[in-house]
Amino acid sequence: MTDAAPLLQVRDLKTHFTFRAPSTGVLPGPKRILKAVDGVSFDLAEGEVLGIVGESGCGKSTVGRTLTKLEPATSGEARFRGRDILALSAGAFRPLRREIQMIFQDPFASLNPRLTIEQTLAEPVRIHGLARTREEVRARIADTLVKVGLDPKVMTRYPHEFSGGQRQRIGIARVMIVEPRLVIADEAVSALDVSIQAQVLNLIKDLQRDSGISMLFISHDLGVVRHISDRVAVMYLGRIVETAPKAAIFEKPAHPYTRLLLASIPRIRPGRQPVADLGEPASAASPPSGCAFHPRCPLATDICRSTRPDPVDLGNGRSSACHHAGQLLGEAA
Amino acid sequence: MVRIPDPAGRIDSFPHQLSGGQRQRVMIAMALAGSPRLLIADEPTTALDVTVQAQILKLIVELQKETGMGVMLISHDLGVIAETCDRIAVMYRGRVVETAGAHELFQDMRHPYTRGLLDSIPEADEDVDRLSAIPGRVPTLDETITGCAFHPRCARRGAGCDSDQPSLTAFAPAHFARCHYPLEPDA
Repeated sequence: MTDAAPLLQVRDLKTHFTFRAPSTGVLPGPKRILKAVDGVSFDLAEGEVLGIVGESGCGKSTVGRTLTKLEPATSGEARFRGRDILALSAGAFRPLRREIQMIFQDPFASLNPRLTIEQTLAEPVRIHGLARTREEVRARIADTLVKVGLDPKVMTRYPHEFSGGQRQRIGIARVMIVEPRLVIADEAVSALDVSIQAQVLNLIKDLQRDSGISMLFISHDLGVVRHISDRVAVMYLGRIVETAPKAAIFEKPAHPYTRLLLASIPRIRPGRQPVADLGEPASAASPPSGCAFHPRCPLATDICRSTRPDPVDLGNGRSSACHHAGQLLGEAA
Repeated sequence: MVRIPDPAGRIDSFPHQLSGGQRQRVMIAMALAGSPRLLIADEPTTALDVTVQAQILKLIVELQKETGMGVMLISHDLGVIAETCDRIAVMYRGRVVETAGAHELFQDMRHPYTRGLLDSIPEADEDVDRLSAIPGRVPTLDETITGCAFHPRCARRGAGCDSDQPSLTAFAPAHFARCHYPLEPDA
């Protein structure tokens, strides 16, 4: 990437939730802390797409929700164009809401069923003062609908009149109409049929390239993440275990968890080696000691059980939080 | 049989005390309790994470080999099907549009929908700049489509596709497709 300052710098971000453990008798259960995000750091350059991939409960969605202030951060920094957005009050953050937008998974749940498409899209335009007259608002809506591959005539219709793929196009239109600098897409194509998913992925890729926006693309689907991202961060139990440019992470993973993920995907072309049964992820409410992956890791040694590894810079834009990363890369070379 | 560790300790557990993968193992154990000749598994791993999915699929394949039962695996995921099954039937709008041995289907597909489905999938093993998506949308159940149900989205449609339902044509022993203008071999 370029030497320019990154658009977004996230440092040691933590988002913890307090909950009560199930009661065992008359008294309420003890208070416990779920460390959904527990020390996440990354940079996002202008115009870059960073994929965040991991299994359910790894905290990838909470990262997105914390950066849009849908969840309060417990600690850490997130500098957007130099300003720490986590420290801003709701009022001070409001002007930045236009620049930081989010695409959600379920396009039906995120559209108001009682508003026409025109009303849905006019709202952000008015709130952010992006057009003055009714005609200007309407022209902007028509323009945006064309950009996402919809006929401007659909403006007068309601969400239920659209298919899932079309609804997600409307959700994307609502984000693009305010010309954001940063888009956070959380499982944006996961609810769609595979033939429709490909259409929407192509659309997102085109829009991102044409407008030069930066994007955090959060997904559990490694194929989708590879297709859309420039760089990929892999999360496991609240932490990023590996970050690398796309080609490096898929060709030469430098963390045993990334290896396990890649080896687990069922392939259409034959040739995948069967993976050993390594159990299931622990809960973020009671993470294992040391490296959270050690109970499932074939390389685990004593240090992995006792000491949590920090991300180590391996050069060429990649880092891995594994005591044995050097050994892994040596093997792959 | 379904590889749950410490079965004696687990037998008194309630479902919420088990992980997702273990719950699916229990469901498989229930299905196998009567020693069935045929096991129908409907999206058995769709709700599971990919690392756990790999373990459950391996289990189903091993159990099938051990018992010799027939397995009908229903899934939207072509990778899951390709790795698990001997023979594959591709369905569209209520009909099987193509059926063949797993290897043959992916090597020598004849139906444009099968091809389109395969080309739509972004894979973790390769970089493509653009996915070749199938145009249009999945028809709703109340829409009436005459002729071949896939023709409104098909790049190969020609005369007859919008009026005549194509019949099953054999391309090889046990390889059939319903298409008026099937793909050539190696297309």
